[in-house]
Amino acid sequence: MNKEKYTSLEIGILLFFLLNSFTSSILIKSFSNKNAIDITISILIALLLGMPLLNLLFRQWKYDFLNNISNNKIITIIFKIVFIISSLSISLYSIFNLSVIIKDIILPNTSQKLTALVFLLLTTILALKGLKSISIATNLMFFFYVIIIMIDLVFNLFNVDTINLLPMTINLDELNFFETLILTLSPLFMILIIPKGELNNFRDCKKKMNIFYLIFFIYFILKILFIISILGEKYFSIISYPEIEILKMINIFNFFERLEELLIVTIFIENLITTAFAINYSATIANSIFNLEEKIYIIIDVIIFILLLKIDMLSNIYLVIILSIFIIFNLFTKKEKRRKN
Amino acid sequence: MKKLMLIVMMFLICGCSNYNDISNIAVISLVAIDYDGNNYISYVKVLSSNSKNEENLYKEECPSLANCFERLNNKLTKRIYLTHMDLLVLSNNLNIDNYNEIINFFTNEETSRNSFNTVIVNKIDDAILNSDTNDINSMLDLSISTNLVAKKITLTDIIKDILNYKVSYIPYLEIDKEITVKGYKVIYDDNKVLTKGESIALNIIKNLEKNFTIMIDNKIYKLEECNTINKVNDNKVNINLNCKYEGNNKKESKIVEDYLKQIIENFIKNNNDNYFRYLMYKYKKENNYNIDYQINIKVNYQESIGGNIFE
Repeated sequence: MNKEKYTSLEIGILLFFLLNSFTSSILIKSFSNKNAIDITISILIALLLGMPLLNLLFRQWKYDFLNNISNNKIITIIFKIVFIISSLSISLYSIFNLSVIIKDIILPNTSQKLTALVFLLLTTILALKGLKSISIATNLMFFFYVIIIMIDLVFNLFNVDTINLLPMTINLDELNFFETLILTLSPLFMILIIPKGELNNFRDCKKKMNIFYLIFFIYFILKILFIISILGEKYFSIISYPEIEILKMINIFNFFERLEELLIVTIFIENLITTAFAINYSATIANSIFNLEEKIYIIIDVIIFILLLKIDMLSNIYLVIILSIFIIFNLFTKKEKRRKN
Repeated sequence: MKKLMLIVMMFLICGCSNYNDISNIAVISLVAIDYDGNNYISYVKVLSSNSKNEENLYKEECPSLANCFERLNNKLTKRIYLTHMDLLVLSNNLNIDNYNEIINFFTNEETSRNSFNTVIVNKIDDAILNSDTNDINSMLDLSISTNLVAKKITLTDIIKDILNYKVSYIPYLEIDKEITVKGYKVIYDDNKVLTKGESIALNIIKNLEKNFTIMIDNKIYKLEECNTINKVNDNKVNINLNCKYEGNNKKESKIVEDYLKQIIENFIKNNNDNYFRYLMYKYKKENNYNIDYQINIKVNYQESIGGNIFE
């Protein structure tokens, strides 16, 4: 494992991608059939629930938790296995979503398993290089990401119709409790998989993480409102990929059209980084039990690929259960031993 | 191990499995759909893969749209590819069920982007089938920028309109000796063709074009920087239009004002059930309402630089 340390900005950018991977396509879809105000309230509730939990988890944050979870060896192994399972499920979820999107949008005739395998190998190569390489790759991709988001935004502004956001009424009965729960838990998980031993200055990183956590929620609310204002809530609830549907409407000076297959790369970037990160995390923990070094990546790849072959549909319920267990386990780990920087 | 993985990926990414040669797909540029009461009559224009750039026309008659395309698939022995489709021509004979089936067909079709323009014609014949799709699209572009008659609309926009407001306005072309843009056709609940004046009024209310010309008593008036704002307050729709008129006589701006007010009032009287329904529905979730409206039009006169030569 590469022992180079992160800067706090690198962590912030990395976190932004990790948080976004969950919101792309699948989570946006789960908020369908609601009006814009209800969705905004759901997201704000998720933020309000998540903030105290996040700070609670920061207090429990351990610098070298892999060796200091508990004095009891069996409990340590149980904790580690929970962490491995949860991070594997995240990588499985991301790679599955990615392959489904590719099959639905770009390559309808190619086997979904084949695309999943290609991206799995790609992410494994990135994961093998170490965390510093992942964060450098993330920082480089961030520029492309921002440029593409700006193109999406600027050339879709003409399609925005604010009347689609009306009526401004609140139906508290219709709030989507389950999706709010996922939105509360998944960002927390993403923050927790960032390895603690690699941070340069914990206090500064904590500040940056809190800021990017807020930025992510604001970005998510704006993104959903932007999509609804273009598509209208009825159309938004019917189509499978509202995020990609608005890309189809982009027409740059009547000259550049049909750009969605190029602009879709933002979803690729988010999911690939998340998968690489989750694979690296599970491999690191698994190595602390079995000490297999690079071979562990092959084992992880094989496990994920076998699970991908068996899965036809991924339900959010399992994800919530796994994430909840992970966060509860994290809360029970010992208090941090402060290291003097 | 990294090298091994890269080698495996090289073989996977090269795309040798399930590839499609250009000669194995039928690239479609135009689809025209008619309904005779029992069967769909679909016309499909396929670009040929040879160097002559020819377009071949195929006709199918079958009980459902999916059935027509399946037959076409078998006839051509090629996979239908709708991504490059430019125009969808619908006949005047279609009813709500037909529109539903057409929308379902295109949204479920993997290769369709639904970003092609859609028009309704009084009859489907050689005049429209043999014309270039780009010419029809340019004709629609010209009709809005010069006479403010009808703006082109894509299938995605139609689906959005129907889902959100239960009404959509599609450009209506009349084919007699030549093709002319007549205005809009209201689809879904209503099924009528708007007059030219009503179509102009709709474009003004929707604020679709800023600069345009209108013809009143065989005289052309050029309007610029037009802007319409619709507001709904307590079951009352306020339409505020501001325009700049460049001419030689200040009285002319009054003529334009009166004309615009007259066509907008006319449109609202005849069509208040569909367009304003969505405005009211969005603001107040009531099904029974009486639409009251107020129209404020202001045409600001500006003296033409050229002046009137024969005055």
